Amino acid sequence: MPGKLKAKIVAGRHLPVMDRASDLTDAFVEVKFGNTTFKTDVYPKCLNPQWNSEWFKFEVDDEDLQDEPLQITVLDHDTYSANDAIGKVYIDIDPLLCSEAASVISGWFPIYDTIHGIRGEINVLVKVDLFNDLNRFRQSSCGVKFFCTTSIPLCYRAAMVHGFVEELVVNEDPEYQWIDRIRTPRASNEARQRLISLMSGELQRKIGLKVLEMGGNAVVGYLQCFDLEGESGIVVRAIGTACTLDKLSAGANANAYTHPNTAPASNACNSPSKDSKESPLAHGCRSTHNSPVHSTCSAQRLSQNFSVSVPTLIFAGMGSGGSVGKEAGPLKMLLRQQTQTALEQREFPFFTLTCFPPGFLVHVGGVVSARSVKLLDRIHNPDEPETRDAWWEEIRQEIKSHAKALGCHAVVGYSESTSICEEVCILSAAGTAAILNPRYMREGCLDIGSGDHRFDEPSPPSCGFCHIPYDELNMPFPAQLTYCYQCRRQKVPDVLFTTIDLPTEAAVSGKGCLIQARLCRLKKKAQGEVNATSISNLLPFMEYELHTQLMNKLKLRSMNALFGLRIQISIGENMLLGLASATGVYLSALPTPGGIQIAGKASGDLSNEQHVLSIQKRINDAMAKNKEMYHINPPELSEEAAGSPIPEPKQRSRLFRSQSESSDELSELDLSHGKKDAFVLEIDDTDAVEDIHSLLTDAPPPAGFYSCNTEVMPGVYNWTSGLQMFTSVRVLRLSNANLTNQSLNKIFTDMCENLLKSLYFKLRSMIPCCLCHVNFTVAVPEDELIQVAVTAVAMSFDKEPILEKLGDRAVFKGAGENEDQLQFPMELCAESASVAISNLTAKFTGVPEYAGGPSRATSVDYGSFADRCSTWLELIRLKAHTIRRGSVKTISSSERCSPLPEGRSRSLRSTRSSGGGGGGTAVTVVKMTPLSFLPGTRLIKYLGIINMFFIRETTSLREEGGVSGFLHTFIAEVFAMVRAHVAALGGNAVVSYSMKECVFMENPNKNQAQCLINVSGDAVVFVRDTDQEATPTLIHTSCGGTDGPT
Amino acid sequence: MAVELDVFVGNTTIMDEEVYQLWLDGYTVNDAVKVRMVSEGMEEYEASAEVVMSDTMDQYRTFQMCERLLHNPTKLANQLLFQIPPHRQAMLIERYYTFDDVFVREVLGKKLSKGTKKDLDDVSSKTGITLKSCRRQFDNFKRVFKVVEELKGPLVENIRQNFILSDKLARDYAAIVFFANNRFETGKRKLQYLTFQDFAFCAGQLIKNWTVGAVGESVFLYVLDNMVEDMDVDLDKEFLQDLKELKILITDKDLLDQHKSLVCTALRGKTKVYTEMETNFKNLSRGLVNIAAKLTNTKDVRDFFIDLVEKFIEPCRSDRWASADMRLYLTHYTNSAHLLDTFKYQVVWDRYMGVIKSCIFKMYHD
Repeated sequence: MPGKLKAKIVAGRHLPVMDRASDLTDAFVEVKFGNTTFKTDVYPKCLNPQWNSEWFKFEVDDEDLQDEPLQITVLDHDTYSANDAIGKVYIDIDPLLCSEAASVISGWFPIYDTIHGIRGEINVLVKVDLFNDLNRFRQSSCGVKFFCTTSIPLCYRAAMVHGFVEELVVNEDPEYQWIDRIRTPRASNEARQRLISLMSGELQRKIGLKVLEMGGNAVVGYLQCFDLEGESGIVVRAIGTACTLDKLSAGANANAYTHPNTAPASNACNSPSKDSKESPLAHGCRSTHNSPVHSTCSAQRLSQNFSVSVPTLIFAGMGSGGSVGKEAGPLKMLLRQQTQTALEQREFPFFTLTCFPPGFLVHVGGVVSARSVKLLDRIHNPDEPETRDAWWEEIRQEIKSHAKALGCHAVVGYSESTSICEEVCILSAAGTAAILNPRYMREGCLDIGSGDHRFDEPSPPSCGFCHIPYDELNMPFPAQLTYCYQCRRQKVPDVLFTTIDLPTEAAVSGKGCLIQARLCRLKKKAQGEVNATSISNLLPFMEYELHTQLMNKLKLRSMNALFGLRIQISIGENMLLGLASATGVYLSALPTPGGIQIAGKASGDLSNEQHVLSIQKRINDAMAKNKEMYHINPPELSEEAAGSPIPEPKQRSRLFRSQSESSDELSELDLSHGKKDAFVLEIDDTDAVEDIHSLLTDAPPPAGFYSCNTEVMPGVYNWTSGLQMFTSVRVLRLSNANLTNQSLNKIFTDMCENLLKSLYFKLRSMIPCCLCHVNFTVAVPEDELIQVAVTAVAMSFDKEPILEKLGDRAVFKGAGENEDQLQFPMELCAESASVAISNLTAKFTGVPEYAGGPSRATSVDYGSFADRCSTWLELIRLKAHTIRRGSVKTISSSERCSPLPEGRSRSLRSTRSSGGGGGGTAVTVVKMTPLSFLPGTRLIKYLGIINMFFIRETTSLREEGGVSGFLHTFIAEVFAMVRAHVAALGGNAVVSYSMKECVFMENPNKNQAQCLINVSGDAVVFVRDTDQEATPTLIHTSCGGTDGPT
Repeated sequence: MAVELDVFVGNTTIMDEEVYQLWLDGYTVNDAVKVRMVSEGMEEYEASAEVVMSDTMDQYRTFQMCERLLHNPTKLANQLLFQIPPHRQAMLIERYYTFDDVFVREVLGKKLSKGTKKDLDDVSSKTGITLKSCRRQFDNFKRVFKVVEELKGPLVENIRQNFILSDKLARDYAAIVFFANNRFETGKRKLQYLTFQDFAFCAGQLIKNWTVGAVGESVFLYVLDNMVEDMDVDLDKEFLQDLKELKILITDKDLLDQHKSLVCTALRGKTKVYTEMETNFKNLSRGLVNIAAKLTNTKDVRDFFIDLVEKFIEPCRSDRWASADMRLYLTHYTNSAHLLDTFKYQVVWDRYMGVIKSCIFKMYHD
């Protein structure tokens, strides 16, 4: 009996009128946990009842505490008939189980009904007394902290990163049980909400157990998803990265502002963690013993899977053949082998993190992804979800082998997703192949290695992560290699695609921008295996085309790397939708991208040639314009310009030397591919026409706006506290029955573009502003519907001091750089800053000998399409070639800070923020952001994970303002409930917020609609940088900052 | 290719003041889009009609969802559905309750009943204000009326607290409630030249001086004892009764003459319209005192303003008195009464004339 849960019902307010006769309500409350229920007295005839109940006490196992939510039901007492339910509140008490998080839950919660939405509020107090339980066989994992944040949380340091944890649980979907035919929609919705709440509790507990077994105390980058498989049930699955986190003392994280990597920076000097006492060996054993929960029996299960559940369709290219090619040769370095051994003990060396402590990431290979099309069948035994486990196991193995082929031993920025349509399901996994510093992986090494040890090692340049990890002579795919433009010593690819955030130490020229590739493919309606086959046949083409689009768009923007790449493929009855989003940047270490050359097939035809020329001109213009817009000033120019001073003489001489070397190398490379001299888009080719079309129709964001889908925007540092998180959903009905792929593409592209335009317009008052973490999800909810949902945060920034800021930053990072730098802004943007950074990072690790790496999401290999792929790779090679040829020489430093209306908007904002103070209300302002930080603040406490699932249904759609009115209300309600829970935990913000699921179904003829939303995030307490005190309870004044557009 | 669904929800509720005004003014979404497309600053964002349409729809929806809360502004502050910074909340409420003077002029003093509401389409076509906006304004009047009707305590303060309005707006509402409660006639042609602000000022004067709540604290306690509820809304009955006594000023011939000579002495040489004042004195004095004497009659209370205009303002205007003449005359007229030895009702006289003076000053214009 290791826990006592206590709940007290204080009061209600704004209750709905339940008795028409008196226009009042006789409300009472039922408090339920597990199978125990308590009731308050009836508070008669009042819409604002004051129950002020006794403490209701539940004595329960901590296992139940983790699994079950506290369920509070508000009812209207009725003497003669059954009591009417007003609504419910589910409270996840998990945050109370962790000593570091919240100690009490207290506050106003919206009373939620799945049919009527929010109906008043209830004030509740919840506490937990937890007894220490030393039972070794315990099933609970109380105390393990969960974080949605995909970096080391800001007020912690990572003593050790243990690695990948995963789990899934399955159950029957109440909506598909026989009983659903006779129960009310409300009962069915509530059963579902409750079930999913239970399942995610159970899942979290199980993951927690694995973490404890591994010796960790936290899960970072926790990603939980629901698969609503319809008839075959509900799957709730989660992945994460197990870590041992130590809390930093209050002072240590003072500089949380620039976001991620402050905590890791202190890693080096911190004292050994508790875990270090265990011997590495012991730990090694433990981890193998534990993490492969399936591994012992996996073979058996797999075979079961193949033989028994035959309908599973194994997707082509599951083997590691194809374009990925051979595994990296044995030429790799010692260190790497060490790391490999450390990592290979793990079944899956995957990390859901996207941001890393400096020095953690040694090299990045490229994007690896795998998809698999499966036919769903009923899950017969929910306790043994072996089929689903096996499916994911397969995919992960695939990813692992892809990574290997790229010469990498780990996968970072790893994520998994599904798309389900009827009984067909696409499982997808993607990540970035990488080589990690083994130090963080091995037990105790962080600590053993103390200070001086680190300095012995050659310092890694800030460009280290760009260097290819694979063997130059044995490349997994044909890529253009050059010497790194920064250190001139290692090889880099011409373009780099990754799923992670831009490492903070990376040197970037100019700003980044959101790049999207969109694609629709029609398919015939089909059933079962035929359907699955046709889908899996389409997939590689889609993947290929999405990549081509990405590549073209990247080049059009004169950029050479993509971060945060996320490719989503959704299936519908008669079409497939593909959407790839990423943030393009210009990495100074990589070569300058070249142009795109347009060619007509039939030369000689004059009009045609003119057409070609005009398109060529438009493309060239667009590229020039983009360069200007994103302030891309390739740093190489400043190097080449004779006599341009470079801060460190030593560095300079090396640079110069390597410069000449590399130019030799360049010409060599050029010669070797001399025959075909440019990447050519032939406009007679319909694909190319489409490409060009999509290239040129992507409207740039209006002046003053930037956008990215990563945590931070490269090139923007001076954030103000003005921020606005939002969700926008659009559904388009395709009216035309005879759609072609092309027209469909256009519709889809326009839809996304228009959505972006609308966002820019709505947020115009925040200019200058950046949309960060723009996360698009697409779905095909019905035959002729396309749904796009976006969640992002708009953050405004101060425009003009870019130059100084950058200087400051460099000085800050490099501790004592020469001030003269400031006179040479062009270097500043790339050279000096990066030099400074490299100085710093040098202290941590570094293995400069690597030839470094590039990539592209090649690893999506579909063996049977090798031909197609190889042509694609050929194209890329050609493109790479052009890049080198067409390097642009024009640069003007003055355009770094464009003289836009900064003065005006700044003054606007200042007046606005001053206005927030007055008239303090009782409602805590809760900020929400998909990022892991809030600019201008320090996160001082993580209160626990927020993971909520809601269903809303209506049978009076028209009366609620149609589908838009219905969904608008629902999303607002979900936000309100998230805020209320955070406030009740004592928090004032949610970071790493995401809307994982938004399933919308409608039946306008029946005046009905239903929607399911799943959101998650980390509840936190923040204080403003300017505040001394660390006690932020009610922060009325902060609303000035929250106040976004007006 | 129809957009089936299109929503945008911010953690902080985004509200554009311009669109809010259009919504309040009763523009349809389409009309609002037309207005916005040509308004300033739009070309800066290269906003297409589609984008503006989507934004407008979204905002309209948000406003509709908020409207329920705006009906009960105190709820807006502690509701959880919309996160709106306090100063924005204040703006939303203030604007929602702001009304058009032209509109209020039409319904001022009318019973806030269903019948009046039915006639709003006439008001709408007459004033050029959309029917939707007329209805909102009318419903606001009615809502405020209903709430404060049942409350004790000072009217303006009650309105300000229950509807979280600015002082100015709360006073205007107090005037509207006061007029509606006492059903003052304001619609006659002769009163057409008066603006709402004229009436609001007069209402303020009446509330301040002639209601039960206007009298000092001792009376206030007395009021509590007697459970008189609408202390600011109803005129002080006792005072109205007392006003009858003023009749002596016109019925007693000596008193009348004495009063006249005192006033004339004081005025002589100070004004161009002295002769007119002298000849009209008796008429005017009779007019004012008769108004006072009749106020016990509900019907005559309703005609208070029309009486003031007919019995006093019009005669003066036809004699071309300037505003200054009017002030001079009324000041001396009031003060001279104090010098009448036999006139015992000084307190009542001052309470009456104080209001009459300021009302007439306000109403004496073209």
